[in-house]
Amino acid sequence: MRPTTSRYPLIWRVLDGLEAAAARLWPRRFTRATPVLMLAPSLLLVLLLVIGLVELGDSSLRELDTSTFRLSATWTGANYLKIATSGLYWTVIWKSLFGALVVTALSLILAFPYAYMMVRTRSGLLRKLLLVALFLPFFIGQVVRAYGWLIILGNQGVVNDLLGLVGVAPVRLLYNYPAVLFGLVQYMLPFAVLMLAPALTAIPAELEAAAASLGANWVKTLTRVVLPLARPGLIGAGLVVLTLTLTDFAMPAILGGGSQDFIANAIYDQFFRTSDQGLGSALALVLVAIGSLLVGAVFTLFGAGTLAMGRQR
Amino acid sequence: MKAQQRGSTVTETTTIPAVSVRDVDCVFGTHKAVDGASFDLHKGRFLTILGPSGSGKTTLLRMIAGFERPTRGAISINGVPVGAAPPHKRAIGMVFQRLALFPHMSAEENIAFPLIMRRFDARTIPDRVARYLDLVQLGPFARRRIHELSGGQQQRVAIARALVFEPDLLLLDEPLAALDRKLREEMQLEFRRIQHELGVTTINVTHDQREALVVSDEVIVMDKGRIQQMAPPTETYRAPANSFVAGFIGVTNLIPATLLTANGSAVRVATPAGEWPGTWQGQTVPAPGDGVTLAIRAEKLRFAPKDTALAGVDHSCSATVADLIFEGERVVYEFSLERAPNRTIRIIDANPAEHSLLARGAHVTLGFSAKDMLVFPT
Amino acid sequence: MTKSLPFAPLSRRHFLVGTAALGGLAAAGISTRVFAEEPAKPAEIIVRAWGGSWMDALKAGVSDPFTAATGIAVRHDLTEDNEIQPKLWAAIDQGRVPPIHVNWDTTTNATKSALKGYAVDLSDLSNLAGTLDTSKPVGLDGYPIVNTYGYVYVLAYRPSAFPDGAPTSLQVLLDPKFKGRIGLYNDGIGFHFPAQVAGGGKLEDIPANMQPAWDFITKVKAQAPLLGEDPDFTTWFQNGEIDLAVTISTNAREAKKNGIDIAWTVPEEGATYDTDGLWVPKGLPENELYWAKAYVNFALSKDAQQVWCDGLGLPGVVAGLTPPADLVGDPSYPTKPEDLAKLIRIAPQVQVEHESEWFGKFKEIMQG
Repeated sequence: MRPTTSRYPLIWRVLDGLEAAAARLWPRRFTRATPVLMLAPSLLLVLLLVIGLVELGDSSLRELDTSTFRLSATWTGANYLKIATSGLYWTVIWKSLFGALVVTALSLILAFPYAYMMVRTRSGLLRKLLLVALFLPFFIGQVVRAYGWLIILGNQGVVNDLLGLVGVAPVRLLYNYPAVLFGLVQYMLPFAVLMLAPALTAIPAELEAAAASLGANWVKTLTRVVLPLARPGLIGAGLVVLTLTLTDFAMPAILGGGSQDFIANAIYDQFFRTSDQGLGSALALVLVAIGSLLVGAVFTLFGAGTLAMGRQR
Repeated sequence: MKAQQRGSTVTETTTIPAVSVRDVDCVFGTHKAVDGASFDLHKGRFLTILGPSGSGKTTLLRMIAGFERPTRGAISINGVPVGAAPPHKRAIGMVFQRLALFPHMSAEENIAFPLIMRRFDARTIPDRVARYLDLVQLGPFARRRIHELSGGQQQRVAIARALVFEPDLLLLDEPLAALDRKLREEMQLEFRRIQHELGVTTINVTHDQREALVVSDEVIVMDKGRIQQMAPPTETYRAPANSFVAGFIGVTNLIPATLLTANGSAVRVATPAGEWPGTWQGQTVPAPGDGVTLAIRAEKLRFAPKDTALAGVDHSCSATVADLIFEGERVVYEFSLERAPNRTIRIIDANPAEHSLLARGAHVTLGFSAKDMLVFPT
Repeated sequence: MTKSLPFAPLSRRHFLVGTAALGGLAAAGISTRVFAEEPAKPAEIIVRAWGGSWMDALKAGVSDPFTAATGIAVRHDLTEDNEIQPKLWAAIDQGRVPPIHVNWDTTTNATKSALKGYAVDLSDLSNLAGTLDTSKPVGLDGYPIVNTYGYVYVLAYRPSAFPDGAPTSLQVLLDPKFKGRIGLYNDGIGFHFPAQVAGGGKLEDIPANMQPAWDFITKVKAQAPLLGEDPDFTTWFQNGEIDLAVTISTNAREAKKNGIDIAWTVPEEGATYDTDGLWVPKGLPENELYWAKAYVNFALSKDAQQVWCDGLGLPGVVAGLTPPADLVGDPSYPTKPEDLAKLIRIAPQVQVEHESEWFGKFKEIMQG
């Protein structure tokens, strides 16, 4: 080989320099500790979270004395007893939980065809349109979107105006449970689509062609091939939507007309409205427990390899 | 078109062809992927569609399978026009390029899939699956997941799955392309064996000329969306229909030339290296001055050290060894012609063990026979 | 208690529009010399305030004249009242200097801090001598809070829905005609006490027996009321969603200023009267504490009150203020003891002690 006369590209020099600097900062003999270094920031974050949870746990075991507005010095289960015996909190927990399940189911049902079309379409234009339509709502925050629904669905809103044209008297579409769920589904849809799209991309289109050549119509191709293979995506998207919905605050607050509180709204009230840190902490931990139980149940039901982690290729 | 099918062996003229393709076009936007394809394939035959990438061979296959619709023309299977029938309504087994096995199922579940989809009697399914597992010699691996099988085993599952429902037609969409050479050659013979055993009409698509010659009863060569030739492998090799086929199959020297004189099929042409004799392959009578292409198979040329006489040749010329490629059982020489140093001629020496190899720069004499110097219209 | 969501750009305070008259301040002869000796002046003092027109009113009536008189700049911290509270508590708990000098707060919220012992006693302010007894926080020792003005939770209504004249009683809320067309606060604030009367109970029974209130609220629940925060009421009236609401008079006045046909009344059952105030957190350095108290004292001067409260459209706590022209004789603008007698006042201490329970009970009924 003749020595090359062409110039060594600049980018190589830059990378070599960076590599040398990295070697000086982190000598080769530390290599075995590198994974620890990479993990350190996330471990630190988890540690902070744990500290916060411990603090919450401590507060949740102290009752507020409303004559001095101080938490009790000794531990008591009064806050948890209050939650367990109060109709209000059962209602709120049930509304959050049921809402989360319904919203998850609806979001997945609606997101699947959207993601499928986005991934499979041969038309670049259609794919771009679907992507833009998907990302546009991300630039519009949850609160602004909720207020948008107030305008559209209000008694003098667009929908009621249209109903008025065909002679239907204004219908109250807002400030009820379905309105909250509707707003949540609309909010969660992009999350579900974004989680599903990579899972569907990972399924070769050839598999669907194969199923068709083997005699499967589209329904059977969907149920026997695509859905089973999309399971990691469906479960991932489901978990994200489920936990986001369960802990949502803005949609119940804005579209619920004050009578459709979720757990987060009840927690907010305790921390910021009635200044009861103890009860607020207890409610927060109940929410953490419900969320963890749900996620745990999903893993138990569908197996730990559900998210396609640790699978050999 | 008729001329191109001149050599095809028609064995069962009285029966209905298993596959009949008539004047089929397939247009994507402004691109004509398949242009006026027509052929008949008889029951039990093994056809290979051979061509470079972009030649339209896969599109033609996908139209037969029902994944694409012909823009024009008709396709019939067993005499029944399939028209717009979707793939799952056609009785066609297909082995895909990347096999398309279902990763969430075991080998036997993959093979049972078409039987369940096509509503076979549930009681007969296990027996039938077992039979086909045996056919592809995978009995012990029935319960393995797909990713637990080797590349060759996966191929066998794919074949069994495509055949288990006894389709009218088996389509192979370059399933061997990704395999290493040894495994590929093994699987080619395996295809051949299974096809013979079951007698299923098969259409194979490949860009591997060796595979086409090894496995097929018939070969279609395609280029630029058009069928160039349909013939048995031997004929495709020995009597290429045009310079494209001649150049695509085998190691062939293609030399542009001008026609000088024609006497029947015996012609003389002007090449950069002087006036050479040849044999006319075109259908029309050539006129002097026409541009032609001279095609000479690399194994049809002979050579000897300079000044050594070559017996029984119609023409000889001087050259030097520009390069040589030692491949073990054969050596490929590249010779630079003395009268046209920029023009190299490749020659295959199939018996390199019998004499010592020539060195680069050695002077030689090349010899040709006029019957091996095929002259095609350009 | 805040009357707005933390993310809502508009809070109750913003709905008070009033252009404060800026004239004649310098000539008011304000004395800031409340103590014998003046300690070192800080460069600025920080006052937590509600933004928008609320801050404009405070700035025009109190902060700017205070700066003119003392040379101390006033910075307004617009952190929400409910969010500053935990921050203040944490700072005092940890022995840090609190992040603000003066907190403009609802009396109920401020009472919580006072009960915790985190508020400085302001009994020695010289201008307290000139204030009405509404400035005194009920049930607390001394003046850990100084109330600076009051407001009334009126029964606001759309006159077009009442061709026969203004409603006189809260019983109108049970009229089937208004099903789904009633607005209440989502925790029931301002409604619990009149509901106690409307349900046939006595105010003296609060907090011991509020069953009459819960019974009445349960009947109202059957009317499917809308539940919201301050900004919602104006929107709802504007968009034709409701005909009746129990809300702070300022929301109704704001809607009226926006051109909506709306009026308000104090029903025969009475209406809740509540106050806002100023307080100074413990833990300030001596000199800053001195000037923080000087600021509160200044806010109680008659001239400061006149401009500030005009801006808010609410009755101040100093005798002899001139009400805005549109509010003369208005039931939501009590100036005389007999006006106040029609209103329901419950001690803040009782309120903060039971607030959580009342809100919870109200929500339990409404969420059911």
